[in-house]
Amino acid sequence: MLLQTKGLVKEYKRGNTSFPAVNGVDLSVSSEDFVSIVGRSGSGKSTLLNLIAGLLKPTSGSILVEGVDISSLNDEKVSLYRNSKIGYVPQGQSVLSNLTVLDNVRLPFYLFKREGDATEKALSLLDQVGLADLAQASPRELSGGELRRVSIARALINDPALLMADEPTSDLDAQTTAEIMELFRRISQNGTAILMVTHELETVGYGNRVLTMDAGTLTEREKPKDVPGGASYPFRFQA
Amino acid sequence: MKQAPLSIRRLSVCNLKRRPFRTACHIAVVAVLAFVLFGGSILSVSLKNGTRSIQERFGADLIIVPQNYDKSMESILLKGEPNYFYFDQAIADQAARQEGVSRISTQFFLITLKADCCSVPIQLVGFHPETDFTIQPWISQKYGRDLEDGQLVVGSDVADSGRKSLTFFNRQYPIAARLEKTGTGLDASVFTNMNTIRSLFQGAKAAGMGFLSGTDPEKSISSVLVKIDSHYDADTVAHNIRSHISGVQVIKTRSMFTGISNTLGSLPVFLYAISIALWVLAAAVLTVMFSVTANERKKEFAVLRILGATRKKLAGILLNESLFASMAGGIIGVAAAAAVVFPFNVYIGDRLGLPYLQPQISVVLGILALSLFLSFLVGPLASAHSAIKISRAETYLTMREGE
Repeated sequence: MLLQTKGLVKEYKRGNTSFPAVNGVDLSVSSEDFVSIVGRSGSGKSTLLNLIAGLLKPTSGSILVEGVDISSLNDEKVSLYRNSKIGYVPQGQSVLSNLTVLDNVRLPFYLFKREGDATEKALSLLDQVGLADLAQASPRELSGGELRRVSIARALINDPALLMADEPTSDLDAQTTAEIMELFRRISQNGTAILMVTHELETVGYGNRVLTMDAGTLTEREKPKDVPGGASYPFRFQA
Repeated sequence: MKQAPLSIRRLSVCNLKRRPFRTACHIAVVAVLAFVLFGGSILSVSLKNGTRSIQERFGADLIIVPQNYDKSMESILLKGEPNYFYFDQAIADQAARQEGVSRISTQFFLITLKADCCSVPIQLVGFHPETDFTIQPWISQKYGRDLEDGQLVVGSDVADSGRKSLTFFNRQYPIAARLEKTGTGLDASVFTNMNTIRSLFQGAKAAGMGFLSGTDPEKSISSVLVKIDSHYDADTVAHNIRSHISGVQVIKTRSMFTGISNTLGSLPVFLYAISIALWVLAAAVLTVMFSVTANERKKEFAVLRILGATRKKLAGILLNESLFASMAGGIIGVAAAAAVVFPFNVYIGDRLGLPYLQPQISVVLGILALSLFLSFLVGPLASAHSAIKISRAETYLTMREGE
C-alpha cells in the first residue's frame, strides 16, 4: 500500500472550543488508484490533503507512506518526502512569477541535492502538458489553464509516487477542466497514484475511486457510471 | 538545452532581478551607507594622520615671529599659504640667551609668484643646515648628505615626482631630495640653505619684486625656531622671551597643534556619529522594507515549502537576497567614496584647512574591509526577522489566505 491513514484526526481551535476538521479518517491508496475526494467547502478535504503532504501535524492517528509514518519526521525529512515522494498541485495559482515556465518546472529538482540536470526532463514534461513552446515564457504571459498545467508538470519533475491536487479545476472553464482531467488520467495510467480533492462532481468520473467528505469524515462511494458528461451521480452534497 | 542549476543562490538572484525597483532601493540605501562609512573613515583617519605627522616632524617647541604674524606662520605651516615677514637677526641672538632656551635656528621666507613648475605661489624657506633641527633631520634621512649651495629640497606636492630641477627667477636649481608627504603646508614648500636663499632673493630683486625693497637677507630673518631645555616648560620660556624681547610673537607649537586637534576633535566624532546613525537608519529602513515585502511574498514562500523547501532554505533565500543586494550597494558606495576621497584629497585638505595625510595602503585596506563588512552585514541583519517569520509561517494557513 502506497498511502495509509489510520484514525487520522486534526482538530482546530475556534475560541475556547476545538472542533475536528478531519475526524478519524482511515484511507488507503495504492499505486494504481486515482482517488477523487468530493465534499462541500469546509468539509475537511484540504486539511486531509495537507496532513498527507506533511504540511500539518495530525492531532492523532498516523499517516503511513510506503510504511513510514510521516507525522514523526523532522522538517528536513518531511521536506524531502514532500519533494520526492509526492507531487502537490495547490489550489489556485501557484506558479512563481519570478521564474520562467521552465525554471518553475525544474525548481523542485534542485531543492535537494541530486545528480544530473533537470532541463531535459522538464522540457519533456512541458511537452506532455502541451506547453513546450512556452518553456522560456514568463508565467505572466500564460492563461489560467496553462498555469495549472505548469503546476502539474512541476509536481511530476521528481517522479513522485503520489500526485495530490487540491481543487485543480476550480477556476477553469469546462473545456480546460476536461483537458486537465484528461492529463490526470494519462498520468494515472502511467503509474502515478492520484489523490484529488474537488467539489466539482463532473470531474470525479476520471478516477477509479470516489470518496465523499462531510464534517471531517470520509466515506467511500460507488464510482459514477456515465462520466464525464453523465447526469446520474450516486450521491449528492447535502445542503 | 543545458541550463544552469537552480541553486538557492540563483533563485535569490532571479528574485532580485525580477523586482528591480525594490532591489535598486536596497542597493541605494546600502551604497549611501558604504559611501559615508568608507569616505568618512578615510577622511577622519587622514586628518588625524596629518595632525600626528606635523606633531611628530616638527621638532621646535617655540617659534618666534614678528608681532602680529603668528597667524601667517600657522598658515604657512598648516595650510601651505605662502607668506613672508621679516625682523632683525639680532632677535635670534637675544632669544638664544633667554633662560630655558636649549637651541635655536633661524629661517628666511621668500615667495615666488612665478616658477616653471607651479601655477601658484611657492613658499621658499631658507634654513641653516648647521643649526637646524627641524628640516635637516628629514634631509639627512632622505638625502643622506649635506645640501650643497644651489640645491633644493622640495615638499611632496611641489612639481612632478620626475622633475630634476626647478627654475626660479630665470635660474635653474637642481632638486636634491623630495620629502615624504606630511599633509601640511610643508608639502607645498621648497627648502634650501641660506646661501641659496640669498641667491634667490637677489634674483627676485633683479626681477623687480618690489616688496623686497628694504629687506637685507644678511641681517633679516623670518622666524626663530626654539628648542627648550628639558627642565623648562614651554609657557615659562615663552614668557621669558616675551618679557625680554619686544616686537615679537611667540607661538607655542604644542598649543598650535592642540588647536588643530580641538578643531579636528569634533570632526571624527561627528563623522562616526553620522556613520552609526546612518547604519541604524539603513538597518531600520531595510527591516521595514523586508517586513513589507516578506508579507507580500508569503504565498511565494508557501509554494516553495509545498515543493519541498525546508524552513532553513526559505530563510536562506531571503538572507541571500539581502546579502547580494547589500554587497552590490556596499561595493558601489565604497567605489564612489574612493572616487571622491582619493583623487580629491588635496582639495579636501585645502577646503578643510587642516593637515590632511592619506593613510597607508594597509590602513586603507583595513577601513575598506570594515566598511564592506558593515555594509554587507546590514541587509542580512535587517532581513533576519522576516526570514525567521517566513520560515516559521504555516504553509497551510498561508495558502488558505490566498483562496
